[in-house]
Amino acid sequence: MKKLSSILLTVAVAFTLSITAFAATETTITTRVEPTYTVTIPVDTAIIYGETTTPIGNISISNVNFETGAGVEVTTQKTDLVNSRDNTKKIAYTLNNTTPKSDFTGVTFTSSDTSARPLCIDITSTDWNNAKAGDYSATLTFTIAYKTLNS
Amino acid sequence: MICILVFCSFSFTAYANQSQTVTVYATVPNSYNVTITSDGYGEVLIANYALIASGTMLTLDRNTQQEYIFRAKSGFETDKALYNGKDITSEIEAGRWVAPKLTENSTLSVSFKTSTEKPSNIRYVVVGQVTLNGNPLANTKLELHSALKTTVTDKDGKFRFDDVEESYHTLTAINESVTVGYVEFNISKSEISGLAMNKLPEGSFEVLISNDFTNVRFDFELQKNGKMDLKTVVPITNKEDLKDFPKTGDDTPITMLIILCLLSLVVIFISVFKTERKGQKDIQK
Repeated sequence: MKKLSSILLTVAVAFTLSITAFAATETTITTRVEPTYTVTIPVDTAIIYGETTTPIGNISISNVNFETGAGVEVTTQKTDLVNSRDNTKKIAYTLNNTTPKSDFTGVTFTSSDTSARPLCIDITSTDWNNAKAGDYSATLTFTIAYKTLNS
Repeated sequence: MICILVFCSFSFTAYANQSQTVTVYATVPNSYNVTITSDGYGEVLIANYALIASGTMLTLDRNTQQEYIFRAKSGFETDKALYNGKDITSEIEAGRWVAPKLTENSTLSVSFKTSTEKPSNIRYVVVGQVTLNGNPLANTKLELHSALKTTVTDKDGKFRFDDVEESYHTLTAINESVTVGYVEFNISKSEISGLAMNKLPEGSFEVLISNDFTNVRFDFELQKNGKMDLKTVVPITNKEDLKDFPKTGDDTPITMLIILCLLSLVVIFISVFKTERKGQKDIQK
């Protein structure tokens, strides 16, 4: 009787034992690779009197690593070419793409288009001949923006 | 229980626009240099400038349209003139040429050749008057070329040249080493009686003189731009009238010779006097 009781108790205890099964845990790992680029713009340039076209250098980009659908936009603003002693005396000029010759309004570099843009400054012979003697200067401001491009 | 913790991090890095400025410079000059050379058989003159020696570098204002005068020496004529390497000989009129606007350092070179004009035995006495704005141009040196002759106008602007050949001539007016006037004219014998004067399209003058006359009067009017116009040409039939036009400048060599002779006589006299005085002293001793 005792043995039977022991056995029955053991079986009962066995049935009451429960093992807790823990569900598996998920961990998400994130990281971000920042986009990289290096934009090179022209340097300060002296224009020789009488030259109707003066190359001032390239706008170029290198070390490019963009997000998909992103790019770098370079725009420019320019001031008048003004006489240092008489700011009413100016020489008209245009900032152009060299090849093909066209007005430079800006450039957008993408992962698939990283070609350099050579720029030049054009002044007509008439404007040179009519210019008052003296020193002149103008400022070109290049603004560089990384942005998502419209698809 | 499955606990799923999803941790999403959105980080949006906003890149600020970057700007960089570039300065462009230009200098517009106010003057340029013009280097003038000639081969020695003639000269380049500029109105209101001193005579220009070959190799002279002039500094002129930008955009100046300078007029140059090419004057050949006796027995020569302009052969070729080059401006910045371009032959401008055909553009010379009556010895004058106006350069284009000066927009760079430039060069002007001129060469002269032996004149093809045949010499003539005919000679004239040329007298006259030079005026400026109707007033006499006094005390002004005049150089007459073919065979070089010089004189100076008197207080009435009058002058006289003797022994002027039938030929092409240039007359230059010079005041204090500055060229103030220039004109070219040709004297030719005419078979038609009388005397005639024509102004040619290029600005020079042609004077036709018949065999009746050897004394003529040329009156010139000097313009502000350095051109001299031959206003009137008249014959002088009365030799007494030539006295109104005293010769000056041409007499200078003779005058100098006379002065030198007088000085020499003085020196000789003083030497002789000293020698006699010394001799007398020796005798007294």
